Amino acid sequence: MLRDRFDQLMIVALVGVLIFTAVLMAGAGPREDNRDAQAAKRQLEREILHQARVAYIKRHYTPVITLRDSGALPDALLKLEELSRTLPGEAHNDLLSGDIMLRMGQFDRAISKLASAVKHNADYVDSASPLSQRPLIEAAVSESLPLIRDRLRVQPENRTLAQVLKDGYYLQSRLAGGCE
Amino acid sequence: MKYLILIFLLCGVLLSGCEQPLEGPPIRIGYMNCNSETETMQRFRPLTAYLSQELGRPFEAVPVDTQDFESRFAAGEFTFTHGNSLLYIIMHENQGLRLLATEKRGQFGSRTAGSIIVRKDSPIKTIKDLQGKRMLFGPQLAPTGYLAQYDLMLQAGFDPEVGLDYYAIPRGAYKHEKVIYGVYFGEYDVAAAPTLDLELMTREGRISADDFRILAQSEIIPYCTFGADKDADAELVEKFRKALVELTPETTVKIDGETIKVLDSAWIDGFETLLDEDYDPIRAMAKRVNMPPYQEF
Repeated sequence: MLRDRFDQLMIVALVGVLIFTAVLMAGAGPREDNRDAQAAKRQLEREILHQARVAYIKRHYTPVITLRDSGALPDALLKLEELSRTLPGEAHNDLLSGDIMLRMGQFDRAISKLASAVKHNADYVDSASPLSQRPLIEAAVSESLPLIRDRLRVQPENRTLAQVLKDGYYLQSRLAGGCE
Repeated sequence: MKYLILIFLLCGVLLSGCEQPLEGPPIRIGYMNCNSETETMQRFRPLTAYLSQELGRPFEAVPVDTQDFESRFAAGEFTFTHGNSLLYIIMHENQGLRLLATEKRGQFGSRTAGSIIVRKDSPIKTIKDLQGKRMLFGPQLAPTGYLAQYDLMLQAGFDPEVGLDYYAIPRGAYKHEKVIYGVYFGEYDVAAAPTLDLELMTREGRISADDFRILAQSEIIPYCTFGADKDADAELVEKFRKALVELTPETTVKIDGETIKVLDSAWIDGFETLLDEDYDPIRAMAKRVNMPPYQEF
């Protein structure tokens, strides 16, 4: 088998490669300090994203918030309508819309809008997020659900309200920590 | 025998691909004209065809002017009605019209409101400031283009008949848009605009939210409504209502070889079944403003 020196050399080289590979594989697992660095990097990325999002919201939605806070609720809704042209599908549009509808006493519309906002951005129910809107969503759920249930008892065939109730339960489950 | 069964089966398979023939005499649906007969027919032909398809009965769309609606319904010209919420109340009180379903459109779903608007740079800040001003209203039977705003002023202690210098209603079609542009271009100081029209025109980029200030907005009230003659067959009426509330944005119908989305074509987001008592705020407005069906001379 090992007829000449070349064969012997090849065998030695092969064994060498195998040992080297084994040593590499043994040391390939994540080291403690490496894992920490990864986590810190992820945390930094998250924070940068949150800061960017907060700045973005402030830049686009300050006029709406100013109108809302001054009590000009219909004007605030109209401004949101205008923003939906330039920012279609933006979750914050739904969130503010839900907030304003709640202030106007339009509980069913508020619940649908807030559910849509949370479906698009889970930060709104995350108490650790700078975008958290838990107090607003908790208030909407606690005020609206009894009213919607009462109405559905009178009108069990109302499909629109049945969907609103589903949205309300969805928000309740997300507030309780449930997933999608 | 075997061949006979096979022939029957084959016929069954072939016939199942054909459209079911519509049975009985045509059933007419009166649709309130918002702008013109042509527009009404374009909007509601697909919905009417969908109802025919779902109910297996031939439905026919009839465009009707708002002012003629009650008299034509009372004369038996149509069995089903689609009109604004004030028309529903008038015909419910006077002719026993039954509530079927309410149209959903815009931010408030099956409800909407009336707004009193001024230009953003207007010195008018409250309803009291309307003293001696020029105002533009929508058509008189429009719940959110006339009634709601008139009521808002009366509720604020301002009688438009005495307090305003002058008020008018635009002529012809697209009255609500003319009202909004009337203020925008400075022809009038203030206008009675349906909140939904403001919303739609803003969404379409025809006006900017920054151009106007909403001086006051009415209570949120039910939007356009389908009704049925009190003597119409109860089973047919229930099927009609069910077909309306089952409509989704994906529902299509074939017209002249074209597949058309029913709701899109009718400018409707869907339908909701409301209760007659949901219309009570409009009744209260009509009583305060002395409008039909509670008008007293």
